[in-house]
Amino acid sequence: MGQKMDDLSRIPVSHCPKVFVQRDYSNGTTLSFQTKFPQDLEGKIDAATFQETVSKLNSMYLEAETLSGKTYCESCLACLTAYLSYICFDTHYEKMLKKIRHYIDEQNQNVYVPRGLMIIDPVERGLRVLEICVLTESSGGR
Amino acid sequence: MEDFKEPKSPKIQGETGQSVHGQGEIKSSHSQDKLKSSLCQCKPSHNQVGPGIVTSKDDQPVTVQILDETKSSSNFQRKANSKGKTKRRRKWEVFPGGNKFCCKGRYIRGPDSTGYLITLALILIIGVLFFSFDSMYLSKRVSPVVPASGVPFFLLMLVLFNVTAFTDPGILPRATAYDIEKQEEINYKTDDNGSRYTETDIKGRVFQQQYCRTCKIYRPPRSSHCSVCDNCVERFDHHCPFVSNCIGKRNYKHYFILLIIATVLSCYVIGCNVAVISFRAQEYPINEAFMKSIPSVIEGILCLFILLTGLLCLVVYHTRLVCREETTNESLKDTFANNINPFSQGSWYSNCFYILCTPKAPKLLDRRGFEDDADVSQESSKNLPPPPI
Repeated sequence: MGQKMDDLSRIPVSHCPKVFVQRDYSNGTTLSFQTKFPQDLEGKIDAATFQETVSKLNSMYLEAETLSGKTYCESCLACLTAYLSYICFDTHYEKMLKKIRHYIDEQNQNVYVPRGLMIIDPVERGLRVLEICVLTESSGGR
Repeated sequence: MEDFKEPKSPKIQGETGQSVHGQGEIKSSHSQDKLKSSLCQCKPSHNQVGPGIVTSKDDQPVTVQILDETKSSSNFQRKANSKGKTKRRRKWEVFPGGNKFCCKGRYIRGPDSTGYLITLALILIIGVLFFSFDSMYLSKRVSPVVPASGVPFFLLMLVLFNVTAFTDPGILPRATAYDIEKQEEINYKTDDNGSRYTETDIKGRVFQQQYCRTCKIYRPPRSSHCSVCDNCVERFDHHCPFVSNCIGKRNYKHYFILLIIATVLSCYVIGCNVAVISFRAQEYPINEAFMKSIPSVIEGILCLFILLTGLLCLVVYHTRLVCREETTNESLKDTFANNINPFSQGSWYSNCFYILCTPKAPKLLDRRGFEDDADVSQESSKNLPPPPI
C-alpha cells in the first residue's frame, strides 16, 4: 500500500489537462472549495462521489481552522516559549494538513486514479484551487 | 537550439546503420587523436543516448558512446555549472516579488531592511543601557526583582520583533501560465477604471475580487497588493516600515502582541528612569543627580519619543481594529462603514480571542522547493499579452 502510494507521486502531471475547482468564499475567508460539479469531469466520475470528496475536504479544513481550547493552549505555549514550541511540535493545523494529504492519497488510490483522474493537494497550489488532472494514456503509467 | 554544424569528415551512424542524431560530446574508445576529428554537433531528431558508430578520418568505424544530450528549451533556463550539467534552482531564487530571503530561502523579509535595523538598534540601545546601569542601581536600592521582571518581557519583545519581521505574512503565489489560460473561462465584470473583478457573496454582503495585473490572480477577499513588496498578501493590513515587512494574515497576531509588549516595556523603562533619578535626587543635588543618571535620561527620552511619535497611537488604533475584526486597509477605505462586517465573530471579546488564538495558517509560498515546469512557464507568461479590458 505504501509502495503504491509512492508510485502515485511518479505520475507526471505537468502536461495533463486540468480541471480547477475554485475557492468558495460564501462563508468568509475560511478555506473551502466549491462543491459544484465541473462539466469537464462529466463521464469520468459521478457527481455524488466528487461532491462527497470535496465536502469531506472542506470539513477537514474547517476542523483545522476551528478555535478550541487546544489551539488556545498551543498559541499560549508558543508565546511563552518564544515560539520554540513550533520547532518541537506540529501545530493542530499542520497535523490536519497531513491528515488531508493522506486522505487525498487514499482517494486517488481507490477512486480517482482508476478512473483516470488525480487530485493535487491544494497546498501545492497555494490553497487557491483544487486541481484535478485528467490523466492521459501516455502519462497515466503505473 | 544550436545551429546545425555539418561535420567535415565523420558521419554518425547508429548500430543498425541508420542515422543516430544526438547532441553533445562524443567519447571514443579509440585514441584521442582519432577522436578529435570525430567531435561534431548534429541537429537532434530524437534524443538517443547510447552506443553509436562514427566513421573516423581513416574510414575506420569507431564505436562511440553518446554521453550527453541536450534536452528541451526550457532547460536552457537552468543554471549550468562548470561541468556542463544543469543545476535546478530553488523557488526562492526565482521569486518574482520584491522580498529578500535569508538562510537559503528559510526566512523571508521585506525588500528594504533599513527600518528593521534602525528599530532593532533602538531596542538594543535602550536594553543595554537599562540592564547595564539602571538595573544595577535599582537592584541595590530597591530589589533585584524590579529589573529582573523586565528580562522575560524584553526577550519576548525581541523574539516577537524578529518573528514579525521574518514571517511570511501570507503572500499569495503568482499565477502559472496554466492558471492564466483557465482564468479566461471565468465570468468577470469591469469597473470604471477598466479593471477586471468578480463578485462574491459573503453572508449577504457582496465583495469584489479584484484582478491583480502583477500577480495575475483574482485576489481573495480582504487581500491587497503591497506596492513595496510587490506581492498580493492575504488579509493585508499594512506594510510596516519598522519591521520592514508586510503585516498580513500570518503575522498580524505577533505584530499586535509586539505593540502591546513594547508599550508596556516603554512605560516600565520610563518608570524605572524616573525612579532612578528621584532616588539619586534624594542623595545629591538635582543637577548632580541628572549628571550621574545620564543613561537613564537617554533611555527616558528615547522611550518617550517612541511612545509619543507612534507607538501609543498604533496600540490604541490596532486594539480598536482587533475588537472590530477589521484590517488597517479596510478601516482606511471604510469598507464596513455602513454595512455589517461579515468576518466579525459577533462580539469584541470573541474577535480578540479569534485573532489572538487562531491557529497559525500554512505558508502558501513554497520557498525551498525546486522550480518546475509550472514556474518556468511563469517566466514565459510575463511575455503574455495583458488581459483584455
